[in-house]
Amino acid sequence: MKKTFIIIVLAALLCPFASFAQQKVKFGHVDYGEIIKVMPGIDTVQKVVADMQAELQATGEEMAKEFQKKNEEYQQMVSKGTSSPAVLKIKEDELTNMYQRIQDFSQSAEQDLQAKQLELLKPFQEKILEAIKEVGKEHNFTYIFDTSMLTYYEQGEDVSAKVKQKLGIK
Amino acid sequence: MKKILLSLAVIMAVSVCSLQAQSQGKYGHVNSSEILQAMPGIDSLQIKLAAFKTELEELYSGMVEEFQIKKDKFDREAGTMSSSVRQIREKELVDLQTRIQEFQYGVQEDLEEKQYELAKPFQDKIQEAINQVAKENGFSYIFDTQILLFYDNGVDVTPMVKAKLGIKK
Repeated sequence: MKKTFIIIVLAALLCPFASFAQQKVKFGHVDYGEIIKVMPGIDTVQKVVADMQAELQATGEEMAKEFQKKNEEYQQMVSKGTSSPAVLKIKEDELTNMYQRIQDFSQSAEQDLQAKQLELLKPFQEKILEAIKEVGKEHNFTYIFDTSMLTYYEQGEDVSAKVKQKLGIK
Repeated sequence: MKKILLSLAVIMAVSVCSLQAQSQGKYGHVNSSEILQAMPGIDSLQIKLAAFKTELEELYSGMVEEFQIKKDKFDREAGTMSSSVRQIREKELVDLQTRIQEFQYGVQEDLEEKQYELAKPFQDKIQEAINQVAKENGFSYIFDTQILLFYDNGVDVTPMVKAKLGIKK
């Protein structure tokens, strides 16, 4: 009887030790994509990007229109047959250059647009990550996942509300 | 009777302990991009990639030069050509120009593909080392820090993986 007692006491003493050796891990998840959508001031990003896109598009269309016009002039010159080959060649080169410029423009416009969007989003992303970090530290989380990275999650701890609160989102 | 009680107590104690341990599992995280940067021989990847880029650039300027030469020749001779020959030569020029443009658009993709291809043996080695570390130390899950929004006080297996790969520090 005495031995049994000793073993139970030993076990009781060792058990917490065993679970202590086993790390205490606390998981959480957050819907990052949803939070960035409701960030205060995020509308301005969409607006600035949309405005820039419209402006670039207008410039592109203008260039295309000008190309069209010059191309028609050239076609008329060719069909009339009164222009010298040297003049035609100058016109041709002009058209080729213009075509190249339009292509370069549309390619760089797309890149500029993407770069602008990234640049504008950055401060918002940093704020969210900072809030997640604070929530994580305050509530002793070990890992917080983005739900978009998880194939399945249920009954885990959703920290979205805490993060939103920290960011002043209602 | 005493013995039965004793063994019962032992079984109970052990099962309670292991149950607790099981429900916790073992988790860790690793910074795989940091390891990739420190991989022995990774410098050769950048060098090979730069060489491939130069190769693509040379190919491109070769095509442009070829186009320019053909275009100049065409401009010189256009006046004396029959219209059918003129059409064929014109089409040749347009085709060449299209090829140049397609090449230009594909360059970025080619570079990314090459980088992936060059990095793959390194990535495979890292994955293998992570697998070994996990098995040896009984981990259930190891997360890449790149996909974590937050990590704190977890077990960082990066040094263990590095040691496995023979990376110092």
